Formats: sequence, C-alpha cells, structure tokens
Amino acid sequence: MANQTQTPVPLDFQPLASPMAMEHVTIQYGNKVAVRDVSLLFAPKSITALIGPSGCGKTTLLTSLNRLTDLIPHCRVSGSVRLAELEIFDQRIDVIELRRRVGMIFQRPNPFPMSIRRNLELPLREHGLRDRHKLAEKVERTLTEVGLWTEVKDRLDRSALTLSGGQQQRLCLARALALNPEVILLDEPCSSLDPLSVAVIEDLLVRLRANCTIVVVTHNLAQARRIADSTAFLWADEAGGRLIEHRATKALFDSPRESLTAAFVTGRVG
Amino acid sequence: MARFKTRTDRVLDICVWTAPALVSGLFLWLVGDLAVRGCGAFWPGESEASGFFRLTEPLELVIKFLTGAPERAGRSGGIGPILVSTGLILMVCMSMAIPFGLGTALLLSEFVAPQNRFGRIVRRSLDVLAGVPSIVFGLFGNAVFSQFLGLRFSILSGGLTLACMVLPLLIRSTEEALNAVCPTQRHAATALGFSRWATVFQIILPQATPGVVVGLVLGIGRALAETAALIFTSGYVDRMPRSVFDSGRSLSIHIYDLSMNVAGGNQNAYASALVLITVLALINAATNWLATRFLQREAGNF
Amino acid sequence: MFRSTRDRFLSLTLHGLAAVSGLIVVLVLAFVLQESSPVLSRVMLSRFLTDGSWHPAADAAEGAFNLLPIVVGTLLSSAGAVVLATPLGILSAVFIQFYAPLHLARWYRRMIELLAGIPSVVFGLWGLVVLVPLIARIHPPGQSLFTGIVILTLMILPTVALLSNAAMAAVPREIVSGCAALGLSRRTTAFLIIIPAAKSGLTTAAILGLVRAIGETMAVVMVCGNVVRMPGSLFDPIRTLTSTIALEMSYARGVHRSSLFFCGLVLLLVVTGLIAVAEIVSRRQLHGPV
Repeated sequence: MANQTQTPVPLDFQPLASPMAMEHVTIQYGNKVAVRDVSLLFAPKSITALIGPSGCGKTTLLTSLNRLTDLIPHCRVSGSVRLAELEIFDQRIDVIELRRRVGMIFQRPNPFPMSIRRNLELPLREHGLRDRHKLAEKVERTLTEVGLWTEVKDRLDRSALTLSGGQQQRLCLARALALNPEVILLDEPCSSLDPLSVAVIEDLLVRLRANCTIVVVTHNLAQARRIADSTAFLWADEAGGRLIEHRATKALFDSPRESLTAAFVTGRVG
Repeated sequence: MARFKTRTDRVLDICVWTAPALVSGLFLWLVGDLAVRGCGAFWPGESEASGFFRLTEPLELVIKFLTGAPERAGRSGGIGPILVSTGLILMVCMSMAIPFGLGTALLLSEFVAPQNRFGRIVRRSLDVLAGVPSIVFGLFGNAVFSQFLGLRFSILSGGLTLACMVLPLLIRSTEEALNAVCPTQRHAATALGFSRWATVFQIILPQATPGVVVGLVLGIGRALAETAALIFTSGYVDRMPRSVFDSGRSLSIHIYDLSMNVAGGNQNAYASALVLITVLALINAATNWLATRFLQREAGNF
Repeated sequence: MFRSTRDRFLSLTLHGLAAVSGLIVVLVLAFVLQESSPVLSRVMLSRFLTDGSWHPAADAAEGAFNLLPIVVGTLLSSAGAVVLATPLGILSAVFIQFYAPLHLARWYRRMIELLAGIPSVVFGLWGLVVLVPLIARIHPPGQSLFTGIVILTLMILPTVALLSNAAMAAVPREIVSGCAALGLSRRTTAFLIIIPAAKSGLTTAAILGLVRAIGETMAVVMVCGNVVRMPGSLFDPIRTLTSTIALEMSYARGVHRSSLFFCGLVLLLVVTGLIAVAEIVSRRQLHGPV
C-alpha cells in the first residue's frame, strides 16, 4: 500500500473540536475501584495519549468519555466529565447524540456483518441522513479520507468481513468520521494490525488532529512519541488506577517529573 | 442531523413490549387457573366441623387424596396407587438410565479423545436419539419391551422406555458436569502416577457430583412430565401394583384419562395436575439450589 | 499388575455401556421399520394418499388407509405454531437483551424456563377446560386447528425464545459496543444489526421449534378434536400423526397396527431430517473473526 505517497485529502468537515475535561473521576466495578480520582484535560485539535501498564484503567477511563460504561452492569462513575460545556453524566442528556459527537474505535476492528456500504450508511441513516445521493456522496468522501476508496470502490456491496484487518479498522474509522464527531476515542487501535496498516492509521490520525480532539490509549510507547501532543501516564496499585503525570509528550518522555514515570518510559517497570 | 422516530420504529417498540406481556399473561392465566381449580378440589364444602377443625380440614383432604384409591373411575377418591406406580416407573427408569448414562458420559469425557471415531459415533447417535418424538419412543417400547421381550403392559416396560428417552439428556448434563472439573486436576493426578480408575473415582467424580446430581434431577423431571411414551407401555390400570410386572398408571396418564375419557373427572384431573406441577416445581427449585451451590463451590476454589 | 487390569476392566465396561447407549437409536429405527414392514409390503404406498378415507383394519383388503388429511393436519398445526412462536420468541429475546431492565429480564427468562417445564398433559388439560369452551363461543365446536395452534405456540415458545436468546448472545460483544459507540438506538442495534447477524441461529431456533411441534402428542390429542377430515377453516377439528398413534394404538391389530408404526416412521424421518437441516444452518457462520 503506497498511501504515504498519496496527497493528503482535505477533510470535508470542520467540526468544533470541543475540549473534553474530567475532574475527580472515580470509576468502580461493584466494589472494585478501577480508576481513582483522575482529573485530565483533553485539549482540542490535539492528540492525547494514555499510557500505562495493563490493568491500570486506561481503557476504562476512555470508555467513560462516551458513557460506554453504561453498558457494563454494576459500573459506577463519579466526578465530572464535560464535553465543551455539557456535563455528560447528567441523566437528562441525550446519550445517543453524545455518542454521535464522541466517536470511538476499538482494539479489534468491529465492522458489522453486512456490506461495506451498509456499514457506513446505517449509522448515517440512524442520525437522520436519508437522501440517497447525499448518502452515496458521504460514503465516497469518508472512504477517501481514510484512503480506502480506491481499494474498495468496486466491491462496496461485498461483506465488510472480507476486508483485511487493516482495511476493516480503516472502515471503522470511516464509519465514525461519517458522523462528524468532535472527539475521537481510540482504544489501542493498532494492536491487532500489521505495521503497514499501522503507518496508514497513524498518518490519518495526525491529519485528523486539525479538526478533532483525539484521545488514544496505547501500549506502544513509540507510537505515543510519534503521534501524541501530550501524554498521560497512569499506574495501578491496590487502591485502583490513578494518574501519575500528564505533560507534553516530549517533556514526559525526556524529562519526567516522577521517578515512576521515568522507570516506566525506560522500561524498568510495567 | 436530527434523529426522528418513524412509524415503523414506534410499532417495533410496541411489539417488543407486547410480546412478553402476552406470553406472561398466558403463563399466569395457565398457572393461576391450575392453582385455583386445583386447590378448589381440596376446599371443604358444607361441613359440620367448626373453628380449628375447619382449618385442618383441607390438610386432611390433601392427605386423603394423596393416599386414597381412585373411586368411580377416578371421579372421586385419591391417587395413592397412582403415586406408587409413578414412583416405581421412575425407579425402574433411573436404575437403568444411571449406569448407562454415567458410564457413557465418563467414557466420552474422560476416556476418549474428542476426535475419537467411536466417541463421535456414540455422540452423534445420542444427538439423533434426543430428537426422537416421545410417541415414537412409545411405539418402540411397545414393540420391544411389551411384545418382543414379553413384558406386556407393565411398570417395567414403561420404566425401560422412559430410560431410553431420558438417556441423552442425562449423558449431556453429566458430561457437562465432568467437563466443568478443572483440567489441571486431571494433569495433576496423571503427573502423580494415579491410575485412570483412581483419577476417575477419587478425583473427578467427587468434584463433579453436584453437577451430576443436577442432571439426574432434571432427568427425573423429564420422566415425570412424560405421557405419550407411557400410554401403551405401562398401561392404564389404576389399581395398586403388586410388582413391577403389573401394569401401573402414571400421574400424567391419570390426568389425561380423567380429562379426556371420564365425564366429570375434571376436578380430580386438576387436583392431580396440581400435585404434578408442585412436584416439578420442587424439583426445579432443588436443581437451581444445587446448581448455585455447585457454582459457588467452583468459585471458591479460586 | 493389579492397577492396569483394573483400568482395563473400567475402560471395557465403559465402552460396553456407551455402545449400548449408542445402539438405542439404531434399535428404535430397526424396530419401527420392522413393525411397519407388513403395511409396506401389503399396502401400496400410494394408497396412503389415494384411498377413500382413513378406516384402517387388521386386514389390508378391508381397510382404507388415506393418511393425507392427517398429514395436512400435522403440517397446518405445527406450521401455524411456528409462524406465531417465531416472532414472539425473537421479540422475547430482544426484550431480554436490549429492552428490559436487568431484573425484569431475569424474571422473564426464568418464567420462560418454567413454561418449558410444564408437562404437555397439563397444557392439554388447560386447553381442554379453559380454551376450548372460549373458542367454542366464537365458533363451535372449540376443539379445532386454531386451539391446537394456540397451545402448540405456547409450548414451543420456550424453545424458540431461549435458542434465539442464545443466538443473539453469541454475536460478538464488540459489535454491540460498536453500535453503542456510533450512537445507534437499541431499536436499530437489535433489529438491523443483531438480528441479521444472528440469522442462522434464529433459523435453527425456528426449525427446532417446528420439530417440537410436529412431535408433540398429548396436548394436541386433547384440544384438536381428532376428526380425520380435511380442515375447511381454522375452526375445524383436525387429527395429527401423533394423535392417530396415541388414539388407535391400544386396539390396533395386524396391518392397522403396522400402519401406525408407519406413521411413527414418517415422524422419525421428518424430525431427524429437520434436525439435520438445523445443524447445517447453524454451522454456516455468518459472523466471527476475520
């Protein structure tokens, strides 16, 4: 795949790129505390990486940003999470609209078991776009944005499951982008992909930064260094996961304030 | 982009709530009807007794019903001999089904590899057996046990027919219980140089017992509920059986006969159905209790 | 070597027991075939469809063996039950997984399991005493195809609902969270994503429901009226294959008895064939890893 040599396609939407902020967030599964008292600011038009050892609550923290924690029985979130001025854990808000504004990409690509076209059209229809021509136009444009159009334009009606892992993940990204999200959450989006697909996705994220707030959980420290503007380091002990340090990526890796961070980024712990 | 509800959306939402409401309604109607009419049979009519004795009277009626012999073709009287026959049929059924069920399950889960040809054939044939309609089991039992083996209409041929019928269920649940035993236990036993005999009887079976018992109880429930396989194997006779070679009427057949063939038998049919359902409910509760205890113990191991 | 003899003894015994368990199904088929052989050799198969009526007798020449209305009765009652039970069952599964609050879903599931445990003779009793008089008020005689369909629907509903529930639960969880993350409503998630993804499992559920309906005996005997005639409407009485066996077996002799075994053979083959189809359908994976 020679996507790196393609000229970047300008993105067709200019969403608000709202900031997200969490204050004193604690997340519990039953009696077990997964994340304790975390306050973080995700700046607009930037990429924030969440790093830390397995089980430190990175993914849990990420899923609280679009209230996917609602799906987990006995999961309780306290504290405040705001999307721009909206308090997202307010029971009165429209969760469905929240999730349109905050898109999410998962660790394993999860296209729906239906055609490529339908994978993109279904969420668009759900959110009110019914015009056939507009739908077709939108499908083409988002697929072009993720560099998938030339690869799939002749087989849009084939099952999305026939795509390779990297293509599936880009399709999922296209599906989320089609809804013009203000924030995009990514949960280790590259961990199940081959290096070439990883490069394509990273390239795409860097281009998306101009229009969105991006939060990415990653196991791969090198990836955080390559793409993230700022990086937050989490660590877990018996009392649950907590935030150790959140700074500009370069500063966090080159001159960490905390000794734990230094130990982690140099591979001595974790 | 605004979301909006179309008419189909609304219709779908309504369907999703009405379907369970309808099903629950029918279920409650059935169970309520059974409880009301069934208990009605035990409610004393005009009676001389008063005060405390009025309260004990239903209890007396229940005991009388459970122990008495049927009179006037079952219109009045009790179900004593029928309970005895049912018990005997179950005993015959289980005493045949348990060795074969346990043995087959042990073989399938502990002795042969999943891809073993013999094991696969046995498993496949049990799957087919599990799908055979109960009336066909009745035909089979009639041909084999009643005629070919000369057992005629008897508790023995009824019990044996039921044994064939519950066998697949019994084997499947026993196998599940055996598979639930942590595989490291097997490895540990083998590493310690245990013989297969010792591994099975001292390590695996004791740990799997609660699960196996759950399977047995389920099998008994299935056998109790069965009617079609018994009509022409164990027969209709409602007298007290003297041995397993006598014909005996099971509780389910009694209900069938009273409601279909005996005019005015409905009240006692309902009373018998209430007894049957109560026993089945107790069995269900027992299995649930056992199963949760089993799970808790499992969880306690880690 | 005491140990190894004991192990060999155990292994041999278990192999013996398993062989017998495995042979039962062969025996069932063999005996049913053998008992139906007189009718197969003495009555032309076409007579089952062309004879004037169903008046079986011990002697082939005296009897009339038209099974057609009985087969039609079986097909109509079980097909009707499946047509009603499949949507109800799938909606129940959707209710349990996507609509009901946690505790309500648990209670409803539990209730369906209890429904599955009610003996068919009790369904029959309730149908005969409660439903039949009600339906007789709309259209006499009450014991009819319609009553049969209602009772059968209720009886096969647990099979369809529990299997549908399992099929939907087997759809990968990532797909469900994917739906939520895209802000899809539970309606869209359930009906446009999960149901299509679980299609093969749902088809299997419907087929196994059909199998139960075809094989059901007691309740059908009690509520269907058992008249051997082509039903002209929903409210006409019908007779099924299973009820024919249950009603006539006690006095049948000779070719008559044999023709009842032939009914059993037909049932056995149809049911086994349907189960095979269900298995093929369920093996067709529509979703799963890449």
